[in-house]
Amino acid sequence: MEDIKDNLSKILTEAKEKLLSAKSLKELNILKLNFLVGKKSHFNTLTDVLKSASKEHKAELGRNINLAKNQLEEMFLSRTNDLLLATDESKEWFDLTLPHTSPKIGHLSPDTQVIRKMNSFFIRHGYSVAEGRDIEEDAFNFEKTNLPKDHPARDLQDTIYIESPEILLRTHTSSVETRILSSYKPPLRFVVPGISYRNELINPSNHALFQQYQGVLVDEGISMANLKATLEEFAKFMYGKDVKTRLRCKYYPEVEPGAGMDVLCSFCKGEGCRICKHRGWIEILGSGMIHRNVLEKCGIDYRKYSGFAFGMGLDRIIMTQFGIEDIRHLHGGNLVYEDTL
Amino acid sequence: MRIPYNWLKEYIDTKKTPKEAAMLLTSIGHALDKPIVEEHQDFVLDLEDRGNRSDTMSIVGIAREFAAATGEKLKFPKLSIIPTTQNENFKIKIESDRVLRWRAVIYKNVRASDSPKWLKLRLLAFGLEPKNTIIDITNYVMLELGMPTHAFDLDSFDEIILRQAKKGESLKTFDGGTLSFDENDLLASDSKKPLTLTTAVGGEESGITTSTKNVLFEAGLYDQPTARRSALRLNVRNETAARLGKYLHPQYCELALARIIYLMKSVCNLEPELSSFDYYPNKPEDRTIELTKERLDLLAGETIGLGQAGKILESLEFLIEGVHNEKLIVKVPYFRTDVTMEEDVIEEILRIRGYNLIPSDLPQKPSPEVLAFPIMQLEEKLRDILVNLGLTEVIGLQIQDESQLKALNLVTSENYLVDNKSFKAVRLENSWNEELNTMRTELFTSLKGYAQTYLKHQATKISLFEIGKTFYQDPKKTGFDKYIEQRKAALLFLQKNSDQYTQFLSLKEAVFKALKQLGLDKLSIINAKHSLFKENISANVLCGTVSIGSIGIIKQKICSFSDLDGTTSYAELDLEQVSLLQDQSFLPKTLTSVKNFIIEDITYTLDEREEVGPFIEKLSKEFQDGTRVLLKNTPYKDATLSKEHKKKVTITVYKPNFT
Repeated sequence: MEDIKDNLSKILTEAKEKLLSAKSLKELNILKLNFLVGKKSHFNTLTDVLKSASKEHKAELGRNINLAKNQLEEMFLSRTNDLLLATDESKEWFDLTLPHTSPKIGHLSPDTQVIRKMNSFFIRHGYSVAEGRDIEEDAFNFEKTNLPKDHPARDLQDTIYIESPEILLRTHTSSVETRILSSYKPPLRFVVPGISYRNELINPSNHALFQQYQGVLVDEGISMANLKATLEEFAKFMYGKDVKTRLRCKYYPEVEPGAGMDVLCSFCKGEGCRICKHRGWIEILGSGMIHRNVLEKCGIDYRKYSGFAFGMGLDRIIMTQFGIEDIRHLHGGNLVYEDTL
Repeated sequence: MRIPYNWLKEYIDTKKTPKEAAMLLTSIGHALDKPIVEEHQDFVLDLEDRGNRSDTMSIVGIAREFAAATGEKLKFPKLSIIPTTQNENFKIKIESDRVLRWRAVIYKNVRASDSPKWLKLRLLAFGLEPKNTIIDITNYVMLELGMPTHAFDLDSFDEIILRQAKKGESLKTFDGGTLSFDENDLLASDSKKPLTLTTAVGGEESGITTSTKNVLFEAGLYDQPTARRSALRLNVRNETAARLGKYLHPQYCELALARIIYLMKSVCNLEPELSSFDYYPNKPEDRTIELTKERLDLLAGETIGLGQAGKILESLEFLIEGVHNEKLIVKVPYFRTDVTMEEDVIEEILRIRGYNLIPSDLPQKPSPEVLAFPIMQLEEKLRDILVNLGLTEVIGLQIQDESQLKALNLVTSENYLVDNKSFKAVRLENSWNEELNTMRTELFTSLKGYAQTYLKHQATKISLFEIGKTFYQDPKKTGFDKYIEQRKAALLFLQKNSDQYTQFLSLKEAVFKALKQLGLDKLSIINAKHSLFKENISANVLCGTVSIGSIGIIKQKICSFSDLDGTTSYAELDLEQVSLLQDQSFLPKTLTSVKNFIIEDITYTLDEREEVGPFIEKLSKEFQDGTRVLLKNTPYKDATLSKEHKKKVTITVYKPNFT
């Protein structure tokens, strides 16, 4: 036992002397091998001694060895620093252009990026971001959105059913609007991004599953003027402050009065071209004052509150921003970011 | 609706060019849908159909709108008087309550010849092929007034019965098709056979030919849903079906017949027989609506005088029946079946006045309380964390191929989930694609599609994630409540030539890092079977004792089936559980003073199958003074240890030095 303690202090003294005389990092490394890390280093030998020590001494010995080892490691570190400081840095050379090998960067999906951009505008204007169910009841998807059973507009929304006629996949995010209007009290401001489903044949520009974005504001005294200003600000945010917009009368069952918003075609400046299908304008969203029937069916007093709603398909916007030509590539598994490869 | 502009100009005096006219019509709600084309000596404006308007599926209807917007006067087409109603002179029986009105006259000794050029050009400009004078006149009236009519060869049947079809009855149509009916279809038949599907299309046998001598013209209106459903089910899409599917006022029957009589005189120089038929059981009441200034100003967002409002309404042929201090009593014209309430009237005023005159005024009220959707906030945070960990987000289809789910052994042949037999997959009743017929039960199916694409791009290391819903049904429940939607996050790592343990551990590291950043603590892993994973590398992720997801290495069989050439690790987290366990107020602990530790490496010999995670946990529990216990390096086995089924684990212990 005492032998080992002596041995330890001898090793430390010897190491100290040799460390001070070491003139280079190379020399230091050799010393490190001899004393600390090498298979036949002093400390490894001591560990073997420890194995054969009696049980009563083992714990104390172990502690002593560890303490000495820590001291030695500190001595090495401090000598390494001294030697480094003494080195002439002007002679050092590193290849700074060596490519890093860490994992590739990640990206958010195009959908998320566009939705976040839109959310940022509406959150700034006091809207909450809401969500709802994909599997819906007829009541919330149709009845409460002013599309009773025999309404002609139902024919336009070819529905995918789970259990016809009552349980279906939502055909629009208006179902989330009616859910929220039915369970929260005004004043309310919210937007709803979400996938909607229609039983339609798919082709490069049309899909049965599509991203929709819906906005709703209900409060006392809300007017078409409020709707118009909100949509104009939004269009400026999305398309730049010089964008030209127009609001025109359009029919949607869940609003009255109803309005479509167009932006002037940036390619032909209104002259008419292939991009705008020769209309001169491109429709970006549908909107209007929430129909009295919708408010009533959701339990809101339409005499006290009025509100507006607007909705738009996001796929076209996403495709334009990311240069995607075929809508089927959006969610079909084909889309890859080049810099993640 | 295609509007030949020169035809339109028969009813209004205007100097506007076709383009100017299109702009004007667009601004009041009849948007130009396609480029203006010059055809058959006319300019055709193709306007969007408005879903709620039956009156504007006609040239006169659009002319009336045009007149209101420009202040011009509408010149209504000339009409003739219909002979007196004497139903007893007709062999017509109405046996269905779905007939709203049926009006008819008879012509004898006609000759169905070629129509005059002007009539042919009109039809051609619209896009209808001219046939003969009788048919052309009915088509002309339909396009002009919006009311479909039909001409029967009077000698081709013994009587007319309007009734619902019997299942299995069929009809050969004038255009060579055959329709097979059920009880929901409304027919005109004689005592033996169907003559027409009266809501959409005429029959071949009772149609007009060059040998027709005597003709019965009818103008009939029916229950609109019946008309729409028949057309949809029988796939009859034509101008008649489109119009009869909308709510046309029964007054149109009168107008159409009066116009036919006028044209028969002017084109064929023929007069009808001296009596007419009229079945008209329930005349709709006139509709009056109260328009208050308060509501008008509120919705408009500015003050519009009632005087101006009244003038606009009169230009649209609304009648102002009363003017009170702050309100108008407005009688709605018969043809405006879409106007049923005050807001409809307000829209009329605003659109004719011009939406461009509506002021812009952002809502001034303070923002209401934020609606809390914590799971959406969680998802947003998780997206950022995962992207920062180097993963890329993808979004797949919520609808999957059932046969693939079965092939992957994720659902049983009876559609039960293999991993949770108390739930079934949700199947669609109808779909645009026969193969895509089931709501996804996990996110793997969509992630694997993206992984395949990355492999095609020769990627060797793939890290993807998706945040989205999965869907199930609980067969023990009924109705809407049985359908369950769960929000999930799935992570997929694929690396070529990687060993599966490294691959598993790197995914585990990503999952744990993400969960920790979300404020979850006490994370661990416990072996558990999952149908996607290899049996020995398949586990649940636990937070405390609650399972919040699964993690493992995808079975080789599934990888081969899915063309995933590489070691694939996959984890799916239940975000609703994560949200419940998330410590929203979680902040990482900070230290401001440096602690001294005594650092010690201790090597333990364990059974080769003893789990190191719980062992370290147990060890750290034994120290109670802030001691940190960390794994120094991966477990080690040499030949001797292997023989004894043992392994060595070196642990570094950081004990606070209190001296």
